Order: sequence, then C-alpha cells, then structure tokens
Amino acid sequence: MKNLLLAALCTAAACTAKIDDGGRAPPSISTTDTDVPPFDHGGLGGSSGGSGGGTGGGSGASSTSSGAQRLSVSQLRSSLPVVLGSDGAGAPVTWKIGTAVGFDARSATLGEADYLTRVDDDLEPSPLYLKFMFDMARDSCNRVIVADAARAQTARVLTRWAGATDTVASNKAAVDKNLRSLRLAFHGVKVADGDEAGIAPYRKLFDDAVKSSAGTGAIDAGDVTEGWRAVCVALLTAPEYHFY
Amino acid sequence: MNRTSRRSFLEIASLLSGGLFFKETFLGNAARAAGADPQFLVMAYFGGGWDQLLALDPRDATAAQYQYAAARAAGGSGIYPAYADMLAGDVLMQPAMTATAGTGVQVRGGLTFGPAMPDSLLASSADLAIVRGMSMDTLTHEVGRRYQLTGKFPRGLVANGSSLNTVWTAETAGLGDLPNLAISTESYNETYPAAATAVKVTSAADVRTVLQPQAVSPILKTGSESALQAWEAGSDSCEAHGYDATGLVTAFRASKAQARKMTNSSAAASFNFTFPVPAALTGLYGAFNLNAAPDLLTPRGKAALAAQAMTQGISNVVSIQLANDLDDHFDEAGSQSVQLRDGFDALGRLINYLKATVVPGSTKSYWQCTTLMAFSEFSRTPMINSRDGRDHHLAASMLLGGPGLKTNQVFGATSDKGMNAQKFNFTTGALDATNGALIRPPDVHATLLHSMGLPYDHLSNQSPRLISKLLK
Repeated sequence: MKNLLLAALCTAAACTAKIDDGGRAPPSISTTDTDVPPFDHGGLGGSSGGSGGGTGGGSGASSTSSGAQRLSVSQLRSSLPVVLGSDGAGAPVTWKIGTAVGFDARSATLGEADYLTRVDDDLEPSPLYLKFMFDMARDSCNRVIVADAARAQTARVLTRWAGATDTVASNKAAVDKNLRSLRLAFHGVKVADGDEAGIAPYRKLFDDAVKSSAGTGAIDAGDVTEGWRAVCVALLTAPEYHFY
Repeated sequence: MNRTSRRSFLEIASLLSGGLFFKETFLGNAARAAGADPQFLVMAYFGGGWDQLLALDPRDATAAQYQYAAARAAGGSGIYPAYADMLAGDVLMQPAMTATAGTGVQVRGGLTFGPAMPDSLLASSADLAIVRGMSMDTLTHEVGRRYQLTGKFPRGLVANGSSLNTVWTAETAGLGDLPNLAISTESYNETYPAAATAVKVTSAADVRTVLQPQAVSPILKTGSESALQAWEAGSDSCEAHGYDATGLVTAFRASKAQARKMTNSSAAASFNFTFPVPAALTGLYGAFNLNAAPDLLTPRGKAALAAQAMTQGISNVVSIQLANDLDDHFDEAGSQSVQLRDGFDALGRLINYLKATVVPGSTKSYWQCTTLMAFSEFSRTPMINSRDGRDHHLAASMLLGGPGLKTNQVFGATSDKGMNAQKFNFTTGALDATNGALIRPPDVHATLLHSMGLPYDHLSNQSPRLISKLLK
C-alpha cells in the first residue's frame, strides 16, 4: 500500500527520487563509499531479489507498512547519539539543558509516558513539541560542531566529505557528496548521485547561510561552519527525522 | 503483490486531488468574521468531584427535611447539607451563614449559591447561569473529567474526541502565540490540526520557557535563521509526502510555523511572575491578591496567569484547574469548603479582571467576549458518610457564562430526595419526567458552541440536545 501511495504521490508531485517498489526499481547508490558509515541498507526483497549494498536478498514476500507515526521521546533520546556520535571525551552528543539531558528535563512537557500520571506517549507533532525540537536541534548541532572540530576528517559527522572551506562555489561536488551522506545518516534517505531534488534545498540553505555569514567579506572557515550548522538544524527539524 | 485497499485508494485519491490534509483546517470554520468580536473561552476545572451543596446546588440547612435524622429516616430526603458541621472546620463560612440566618443559601438574583461561594464570585452572579442535575453516568474520576472535557463518554478511561478548548481554538482560528493554553489541566486533540493543541503549563515559568528559545551559544546568525525559514517554506520531498498520508507532515509543518511564532514572541516578559513585584505586574498582582511567592502556586496565581495570557493577546482559550483535592471521602469539614472558596475566589477575580479590561480595538471588555464553563467530574453524595466525608455522586452541576447565553438563571434541578438527576424540557426549562431528557455534558458543549455560532458536528454521535432555554 505504501509503495503504491508513494508512487501515486510522486506522480502527482513530480518527485524525482527513485522509489523502491519491492524489487522492480532497486535503490541506486549515492556514492561508491558504501563500506563506511552511514551504511546503506538494501531494500526489502521482492521478486527479483534485493539490491544495494546492504543485506539484500529477496524472499519474495511483499513489504507492507503501517501508517506513519512520530518518534517517541525515548526514540529521539536514543537516536541523537547514534546520529551525532560522541564528543572528545567519549560522551554521547545529545541535547543538553544546563547539565541535564534535554529529553529528560522536558520529558513530561514532551508527553513521555512516566507510567504514574501518564501511561502512553503523546506522539502528536504539536507546536510545543516543535518548539522544543528547535531547542534540541540548535543545541545539539552546536555540540556536534564542537565535537567534529576535535575529530579527524574521516570521523566527522557533519563534514566528513567537505573541507573546512569548501563552498558551493569552490567545491560543489564535495558539498553535494556531504549532503547526500547527511541525508542518508539523518533521514535514512538515499539520494542518488544524479538526483538533485533530494539535496538541492539543503545545498541552497548551506549556500545562503555561508554567504549571509560572510556578508561582503571573503568566506572563511567560520562562515562555512555556520552553513553546516544551519544544515544540521534543518536536518534535525525535518519531518523525515521525526516520522517513520 | 500489493493489494490496493479501500483505505489506500481513498488516501491516494485524496492526495492526487490536492487534498493533502484529511484533518479539518485550522481556519476551517471562519466563524469569526472580519471585524467580529474575538471569542474567548475559559474552562475552569475543580478536580476531585465537588460538594455542590456548598456551592452550586445548596439546600436550606434549617429546613426540617434536611436535618440529619430526618434525612436518614426511611422516606427521608437523603440530603444533609451539614453546613454547621462544615463551619466547625472553616470559620470563614460564618459570614455567609450569618447573612443567610443559618440557611446557608445565598440568593443572588435568579441564582442560589451555597455558603462556600465567596463574594468575589457572587459579585458577578448576574452574568452567570447554573446548570443543575446533570447526569454524569460515571463515578470514576478520569471518566467523569474526560467526559466533561470532551463532551463524549470516554472509551474505558481513555478520552474520546477532542476537548472543548481544542475545538474552540480550531473553530475560532486561535488567537495569539499560545492560542490554547492549558494550566494544570488535561487537554485532548483527536481530529483537529496540531496548531489547535493546548500548550500545557503549570506556571508562569513554564510559559516563559515556551515563549523563549533555549539559550545556546553560538546562536544561528540572523541570515542563517532567514535561510532556515526559507528552507522550511520551500522544503519538500517524496519522503515527506509519503508520511503525510494522514496529514502528519502537514500538521508538523503547521506546528513548526506556530512554534516559530511563539518563540519569536516578545511576550515572555509579560510572564515574569516574581517577587519583588515587577512594575508592569502591580495591577495584576493586586487584582489577584498575590502578596508572596507561594501565592503564585495557588488558584489565584493560576487565575492571574490565565488573565495575563488572555489580556496580553497570548491566548484566546484558557483551561485552568482551580482545585485539585476535592475528593473528600473522609473528614470533609475544613477541606472541601476551603478549597471551593479558594477556587471560586480565583474564578471570581478572573471574571472581574476580564470585566475591567477592554479588548484592544473594541469597546467591549474581555469578559463580554468570554464564554465560561466551570465544572467538576461529578459531585459528592448528599449524605455524610460514616467517615464524615462524602462519596461520589452521579448528579452534577456547572457554572456557565457567555455573551450568547441567558444568564441569571438556573437550568435543571436535582430532586429533593436524594439529589438525583431529573428530566427537563430543554426549551421551556420545565421539569418533564415523561417527555423531558436528562442533561448531559454533550448537551452543554453543544449549547456553548452554538451560543457563539460555532459548529458542534463533532458531537453528533452523542446526540446532543441544545438547551434552548439558556440561549439568547
């Protein structure tokens, strides 16, 4: 049902991303570097078998899906360190309010079940939830930028494929490759090398933030960092991060 | 091979036709025409099940049938107001008892109140109506509370439908940065856009937290924030479309816009409820008799928060808990009347404050544009039990007000034996045991919504009846 729905949607919305329809249209690979994280998981098997760089293998069983739903606070709490990694001291990078983990400090407000006064999670994408996700994204992105600064290029989360001064104007290929990697890591969305639509809005955001930061002066590493900070916030506040 | 289910067909058909949003639109009703008065709503919840003999459904404590022995006797009234017993634990009831020559029934115009009702609320009695003898059909706190909140009988303990504050917010297109503010109350949103969902807070500090972005360093530069907003406005993807089959992503984006609006607000400073009193809050503190930090946590403090949210243009719908421990199965004296008086005092002060404050751009006061529903989940038994308390009782009462209602009148009544719910003619208000109907929460919800020209279709499966007698 989901595949049919997606196909219909993309027809209507003129989407350019390729759809995994259970084997008939295997997902393409965004880069050739599929042996390093973020890993690409193969599509669920269809009649022609799986594809991609992951587990692959088709059993012939069709895939079905329940309706989309929002991540719970518990899932969010668990997901951030997975996506953002650890800081120089080995502590997981996550949302902090003072010294407390934001998801713990705002647990009740975000509607997490405590099994005393609340026995089910509030999964509504309410304005209050989004307000605190704004806070979460801005704080977490600052932390991952600090953590990245202490990492080797190949271990970085936000700028693994782009150099400290790479911009759209100076090295579009690196920026695009980095954005593809980030979309896969943050959203689980594989943007094929030839697919512009999947990264174009993020590229424009990066470019606009960099240029805005530089103003009339020459672009420096700080401006580029500001661009990736904006991209990071966008990725963490995109619907694709919060729904599954 | 995938089968195309009826549901998926409908989803696709809807999406292809551009109907990306199954939920009702936030501006769907447009009941508030351009230039029309704003429509405020205050829901005041008294938690635990109130003793209506002390407040909204009193009895003459000097009458022979309401003396303890007579009430308990076979064929007796089964109603014992026990005002004298309550007085022993609450001397502040004395003025009301003295003024009423011991009956305990305070008469104000067409209304009668029990001895726990404070002057601050009695002063507004002409602007209020009482509904008595409502049939709650439950003696379970959660069920009664959620029934009153949504107008729909819960599924087990789980709320059924959306609460009235959410419906009101959605149907009036919501005003302010926090259009639907829930102060220490439950709130539900089952079918309306997320932007109509209540923001739940317990204090002014919570409101400030909501209205201000978290302090982080460095902050995104202004240009980056602008770029981010542009990205939010233009960002689209197949994946997001896929998640949006039931309107989730649309709701997410609407909430994002609302969240951005609320965090860009300059209103946080209006909620700097601290001591010493900030100069800008002197009048508010005076109106609600807030003299020390602990007062901020009282019903008066919460009512002041509600008043500030409404009059500062932050919220047009406020729900507020004004008592939370009325479940007096034991030793009611000294507890129930004190809490009721505190809660109704806070409500009275809120009404008076709204009366004294004019809506900007209008000649009307906030109160003239406000509909009120004060309620509890049910009531307490009319006889004192062996533990000097009262247990749960089915027949409930409500206090209502609003520009679309005829006030200074009582609709319905409990019986003089056992204080039971009775059937009434909803048009004439006459007792009608044969052709009348019991008053239920959906009837009141529908009447309040209809009084302001708002639809009540969401209650259709509850077969609501309009209480015409209350409508202007």
